[in-house]
This record gives sequence, structure tokens and C-alpha cells, in this order.
Amino acid sequence: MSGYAIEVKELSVSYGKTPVLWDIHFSIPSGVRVCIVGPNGAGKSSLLKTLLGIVPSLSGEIKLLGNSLKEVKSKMAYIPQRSSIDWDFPATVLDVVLMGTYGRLGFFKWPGKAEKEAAFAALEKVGMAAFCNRQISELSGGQQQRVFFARALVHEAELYFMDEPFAGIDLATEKALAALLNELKEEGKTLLITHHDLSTVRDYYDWVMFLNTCLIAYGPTEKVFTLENIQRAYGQSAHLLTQAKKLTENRTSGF
Amino acid sequence: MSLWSFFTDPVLRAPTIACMLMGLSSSLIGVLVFLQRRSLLGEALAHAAYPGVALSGLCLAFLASQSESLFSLAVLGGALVTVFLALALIHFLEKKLSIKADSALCFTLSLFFGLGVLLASRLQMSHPLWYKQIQLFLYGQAATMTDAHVFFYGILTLLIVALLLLFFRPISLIHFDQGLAQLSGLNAKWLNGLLLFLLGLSLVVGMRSVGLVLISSLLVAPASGARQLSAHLSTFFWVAGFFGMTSGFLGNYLAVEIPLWLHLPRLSLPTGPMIALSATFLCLAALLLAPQRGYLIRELRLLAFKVRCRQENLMKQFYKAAGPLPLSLSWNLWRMRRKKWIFRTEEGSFELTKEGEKIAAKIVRLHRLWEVYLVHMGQGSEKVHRSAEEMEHILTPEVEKELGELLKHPRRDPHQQIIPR
Repeated sequence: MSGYAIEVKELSVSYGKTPVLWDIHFSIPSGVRVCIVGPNGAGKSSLLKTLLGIVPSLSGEIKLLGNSLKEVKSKMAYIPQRSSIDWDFPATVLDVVLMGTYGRLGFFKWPGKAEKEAAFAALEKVGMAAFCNRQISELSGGQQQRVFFARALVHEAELYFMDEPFAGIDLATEKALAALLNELKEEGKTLLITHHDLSTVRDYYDWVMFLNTCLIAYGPTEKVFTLENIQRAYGQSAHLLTQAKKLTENRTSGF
Repeated sequence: MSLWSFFTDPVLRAPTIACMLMGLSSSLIGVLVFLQRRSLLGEALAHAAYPGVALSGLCLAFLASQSESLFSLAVLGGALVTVFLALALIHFLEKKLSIKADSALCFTLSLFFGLGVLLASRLQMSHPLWYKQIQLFLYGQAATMTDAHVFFYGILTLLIVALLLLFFRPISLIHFDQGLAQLSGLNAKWLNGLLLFLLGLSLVVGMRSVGLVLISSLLVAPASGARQLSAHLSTFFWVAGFFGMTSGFLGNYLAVEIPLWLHLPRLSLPTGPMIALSATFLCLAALLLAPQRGYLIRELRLLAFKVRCRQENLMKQFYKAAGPLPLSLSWNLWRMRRKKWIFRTEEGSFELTKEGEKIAAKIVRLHRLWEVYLVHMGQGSEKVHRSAEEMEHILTPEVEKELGELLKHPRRDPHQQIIPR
């Protein structure tokens, strides 16, 4: 073991012909809450999905808990962006949380009593136990996010990947979820989270990563979360990056 | 004729059972298509089977083969081949040429169906008998199906059901959250391929009984109806399957019975369209009458809510006036007296009972609390009455409690009226 929870070397990713991430290089020690910030289309979600093997990488090396993704899949939990989910899907809150046990159970065993109890305990933890038989389409944004947290909790993972968990939720839920993040960190879990609200970065995260196609800055929050870095990631100079990306895309698709 | 005879009579048995099997398999696949929001895909692919059917007929005609079973197999094979070619074309149009899904489907449908008509008319010229055989698959002809058909389609249906049961949880996960599915070790491409294969199979199962043109109704209608009645994905599948089988049976039953009811024994109703119509009516009934989501049921609940609002408003008047009040709304008054909210005094006027007092005070309390809340949120106190008129009927006890805590249990509303406890 190298002591790092996540190690990434020279990672590049593209969607079809569009470059998304260029030469990303970083390592994350275990037991920290890391947030990824950057403007829209900076490749934050893509970075998470690549680490999880949902999006293939073009080149580079990824090590999770010192191993390849395949060997540690069962130790990873993932919360997708709420807006990417079809909330009209016929399922109750309990159904969704039980999906978190599928990876552990294998796909051809049905969840039993132990799984249901675990799911219920997780729902209790996020304050949604009373809603366990509710249709997911009837939930508010904050409640939906709590359910997804419960689903991630039943994973009993080491690494948690979350895509914009604080987007579009009420303040009470935000506080409750932030407390849960802290609790997970105390238990020694590693969390990698994309985040859009710069005003809360200092409160919720130990480390911060500025991303805009390239890795712009990375390190402990108190050192790296500076006005200068924010300007480098979001400001005028970043605009050139977007332009360069568009040019590459046009060239490589034959326009 | 008795219902049971449809399962025993040597002539009726095969078509009935075959149509029920067909209804089952296509409605189960319809659930998947519904979840993917790609209902038109079934329609396009069904039409794309026609050139395959025509081409197989043409080949056999030139080989001068007479074998019935060889014909059935060749037609199925041909249909599957063109269905998957159409699928490849749709994929190419959408992914490589960036054409919108609906345009790609329309394009493929008309291209393949046009080709089919072309091939069929060639056959009509040289081999009119074979042409007739092929037309069977266009609109279906359940009545002439035999036990051999039942056996064959039964096996295909069993295959579909077995694969769905085996892959139930992968399927549910991949439709809800593809990311987690892949993280849990599922191969999305492989599974999607399997689902498309099942779709093709279900179309082929259906084309002999309902026909290519109408089969998509059985993909769409049972699933849309069943969605109204199901809270879990598993129930969704069961209910849709049940609807599909029922439609298959009803189609056969009504095609035989309606001419008898009308005393028109010479009238011959085709089974395929009857099945499609049955499925549509079942779906319509579910859309209107489903206990939670049904349109009529929701309208009824709305009506009940309006009645309640009116009665609560009356109660409020009693509370504020605290005296006799001339009221002509006799029905509402009668209802309120039956609920023991109000009683008639000896002078003939109405007054609130103890129970009624409590209820009326609660309505006024909710009204005034809501006004305080809106003012707290920065609204002008002259503008808050209208919203409160509505919210007093809607706010739940939980919200009331939260409001009370948030506003620190105010004594008076923005108009300085006392808020009842």
C-alpha cells in the first residue's frame, strides 16, 4: 500500500472527439473530504465517472486503494447527479436504497432480511425512515438526495464519489448531509465530491481541487483555496481553454 | 359460449392460447420500452420485419419448397434479420449522422416498409399463393393458428419470461441508474443488446397473431396502463403481463361473441384488431380509474376537496360572527349538522358545537399563522389574505407545527387579530 486512497497519473479523457480532461495528475491520502470545483463543462463529473470506470480513459493510470478499479469495485459508492436520474421510475424509497446492496449480493440473489435492515438503518440515519414506502417521484429535491445518501451508506464503502450532492436542495438537508460527510471522514473514509458553491468549500472540505480541463491547483483547502486560484479556474484566462477545446473538437471531427 | 371452452375447443384453443402468449411477451417487453421512453422503436422495428418476411417468401417460392414448417422458420429468420438491420440503421443515423431519434425512426420505418411492399408486389406477380401467405403477417390471422404455432410461440415466450426473471435486478438497476449499474459490475452494452434482442423476439412472436402493423399497440398500451397501478418495478411487470394476456384473451373472446350478441352470425371480426382494441380499452380504464393516479379518481378527490373548503369557510363565518347567521346553503348545513359540527338553537339559528368550535378555530388559526409567515417572509401585510384563504385548507399538522416553532408561536396576526390556540 502506498498510503494513498486515490492515485492518478497522466490521465486524459475525451467524449468522442471532444477532449474533456488533459494530463490530470494527483494523489489523495485516505480519510479526507476532497471537493472538485470549476466552471460548467470543466470535466468535474467526467473525472468522477472515469475514476469509477463508467467513462473510459484515453490514457493514464488510476489506482484506487493501491489497486486497479476491478479489484476494489465493491469498496466504492457513487451518488450520481440528481438531475441525471429518471425520478418517475416505478420504485419506492426502500427499493432505491436496496439497490445499494446489489454490488455486494451479486446480481442473482435477492435482498433478504439483513439487507432490508441495513437499508432501514441507513434511512434512519438520513432521517427518511418514515418515507420508506413512498414513491420516489413524490419526494422533494432534498429528500431525493437523502435517499441517495442512504443508498451510498448501505454500500459500506471505503471511497465515496458524489456528483453535486448539494445542488438544488434545502438548507436543512444541506446541513444534515454536511454533517454526514464529516462523520464518514471521522470513520476514515475518503470522499471525492464535485461542488458548485464556492462559499461553502471552506466549511465542508479538507482538500480542494480546481479543475478546468487541466488540473489548475490542488491541495489542502487553507493553502489552495485562494482568490488567485479561483480567478485562474473561472476567470478570463480559463476562457482560452474552452476555446482551445472547441478548436480541437472541430479539427478532429472533420469540420 | 363459456369462457372455459376457449381453452378446450379444438378450433378456438390454439388461437386463444397463442394470442395470450403473444400478449404476455410483448407487454413485458413493452415495460422495458416504456422505461426507456422509446415506444416508437417497437413500431419502427415491427414494420422493418416486413421486407424480411417478403424476402423469405420470395426465396422459398423460387426454391419451390412446399414445407409448411420450413416456411414458418424462414419467415421468422428473415424477419429477425431485417429487424436487426433496421436497428443498426437507426443506431447509425442517431449516433454517426446526429439525426434526432424520431426522424431516424420514421426514416427507417418508411424505408424498410417500402422495400417490403416492393418485394411483396414482385411475389404477387409470380406467386400469388405465396403472396397471400405473406399478407397474413401484415395484419395477422389468429384464427388459422394451430397447436404447432402455440408450441413454437410458447417456447419463445418462455424464453423471454425466463431471461427477464433471471436478469430482473440488472435490468432494474440499468434503467434507473446506469452509473451505479456499471460500478456494480454490469456490462451496459451487453445488457442493452440483450434487451434489444428480446424486443426483436417479441415482435416476431406477435406478427402471426396480431400482425406487424398492430403489434406496437401491445408494446405500448399494457405498459402505459400498468404504470398507473404499480409502485414497484416488479409489480409493473406483473400487471403489464396480466393486461397483455387479458387483451389476448379478450380479443379472441369478443371476435367470436360479438357477432353472436348482435345476431349477425355471418359477421366475421378479425382477432388482431380486437386484441389491439381490448388492450387500448384496458389502458384507458387504468388511466381513468387507477386508485392513486387515475384521472377520474383525481377529479373526484378534487371535488371532495372543494366541498370541504366550502364547509370550512362556513365554519369560519360561524366562528367570527359568534351569533345567528342566515345561511341558505342547506345541503352543506345538513352535512355539517350530521358531522355534529353545528347545532340548531331553540330560536332556530345555528351555532357551533364544542367539536365544531375546535375545527373552526383550527382553520382560523392556520389562516392567521400563514399570514404571519408571509409577512415574516417579507410580503406586504395587505397582500397576504388571499394566499391564506387557500392555505388554511391545505396546511398539514406537521407544517403547522413547524410554522409555530419558526414564528415563535405568535399571539396576533398581521391585522392584529388574535390567533386561536
